[in-house]
Amino acid sequence: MAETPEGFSEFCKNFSFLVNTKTCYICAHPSNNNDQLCRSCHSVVCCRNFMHEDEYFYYTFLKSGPTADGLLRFLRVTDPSANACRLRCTFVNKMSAITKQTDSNREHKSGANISDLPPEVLLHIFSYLNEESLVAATDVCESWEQILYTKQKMWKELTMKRWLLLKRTTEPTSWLELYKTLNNSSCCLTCVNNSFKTQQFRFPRRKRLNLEHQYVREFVPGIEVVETDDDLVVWQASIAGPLFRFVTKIIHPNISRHGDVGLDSRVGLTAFMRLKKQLLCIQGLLCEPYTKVCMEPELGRLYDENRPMFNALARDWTQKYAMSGTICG
Amino acid sequence: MSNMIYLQSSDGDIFETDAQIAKCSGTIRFMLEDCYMGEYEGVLIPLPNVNSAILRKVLKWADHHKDDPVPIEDDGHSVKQVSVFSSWDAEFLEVDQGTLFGLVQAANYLDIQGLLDVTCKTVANKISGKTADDIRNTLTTNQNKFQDFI
Repeated sequence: MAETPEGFSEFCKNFSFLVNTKTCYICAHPSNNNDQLCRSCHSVVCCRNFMHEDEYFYYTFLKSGPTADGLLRFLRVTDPSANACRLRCTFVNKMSAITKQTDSNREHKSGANISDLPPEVLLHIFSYLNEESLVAATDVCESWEQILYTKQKMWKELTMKRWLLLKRTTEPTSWLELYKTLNNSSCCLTCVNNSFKTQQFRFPRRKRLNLEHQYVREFVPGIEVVETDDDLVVWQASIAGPLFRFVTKIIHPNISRHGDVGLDSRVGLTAFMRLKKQLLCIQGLLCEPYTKVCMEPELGRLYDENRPMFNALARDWTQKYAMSGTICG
Repeated sequence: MSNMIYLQSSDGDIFETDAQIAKCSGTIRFMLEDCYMGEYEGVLIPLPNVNSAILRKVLKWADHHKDDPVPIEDDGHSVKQVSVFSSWDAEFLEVDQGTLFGLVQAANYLDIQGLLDVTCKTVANKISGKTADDIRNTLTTNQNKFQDFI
């Protein structure tokens, strides 16, 4: 074990990337649910163009809630474009909902509250929710978390479905906890979510992927690959050595904060190489960063100028994000 | 043959209703068939957990759904799809949240599976796709209740 440099814990605690990661890399469109966004997400999440001034105005207006100033401006807007109309409808609905809410506040004494509902009814309600909403529900309040905590079997299934290469020697005390830890450790949750949706590809690509699939299944020490969908389009891979996952956060000059590996410049990684070779290249890169061309220049500089600090930080992140499978629980 | 029975709400109001309609409730059906041995013409059933406003809504729902086929029991473990329910139900459930939760409670107490399903689905639709903060804001309508909720 290398010795820890001075001020290490302070540095690790305060370390964060300079750029705000809650907004889209490309168009600075704010993320809806506080997930980080990366280039690949951009095409999915930000496909709507918010450049239209009115639309952007409605959007921010709806997000921030009605103000007198905004209301005046709203009344002045007369642009009849289709999208603006749609948003105007949303706005009107929202306003009427607010009015209704004030009405219901008045009558609220007679009505029931959601906290009055017994756990079995809440579980009935939760059974209609999808994965993302369930996770959000656990953060709402303590009693909800306790209720959802009882569904260990469900969380186990969700965890195993999502993290195919997760190996566990012991049963964790809480699958819910583990599920959340793994979610927090992923570089880009939007991409992970999207990777489970089936995509269609033309025949030549399928053929190549099939071939690769057969080839990579042969025993390669330290490298494991599993496909997440039937079409073999999205794969999860784990590289043993230092144990790293592509989908977990990592401190490395050649890997961006979203987990994209930038190694074509040096090792000439191309699509023509066998997947087995490609993974071996990445394994090599993990042991020896290449700082002349970096995905994260900040980290490259740190690596060159203050190696012990970099090592400490990398170790800290690895423990925090890439070892949930072995440590937590 | 008219089989009228009387239901008394927690407020003391008495509702006259057809026994066949009231029997969509498992609780009332059990009472009528087991406690009164099928001779329930004109009996009065107190429902101390349901107030008048909610009971009126429940009876309206039961009356509209009296000819529905008996639902098939599912195992309750499969993840259900949030389906679109009938437009009548959708309109029926356009109520403030206090009433909605009141209906959920009543459906649970009276054991009306169909009503419990649609009301729970409606609540789930309110929660679905939101962050924890948004859920809290949606489900709590005033500051005091918000504190209780946490």
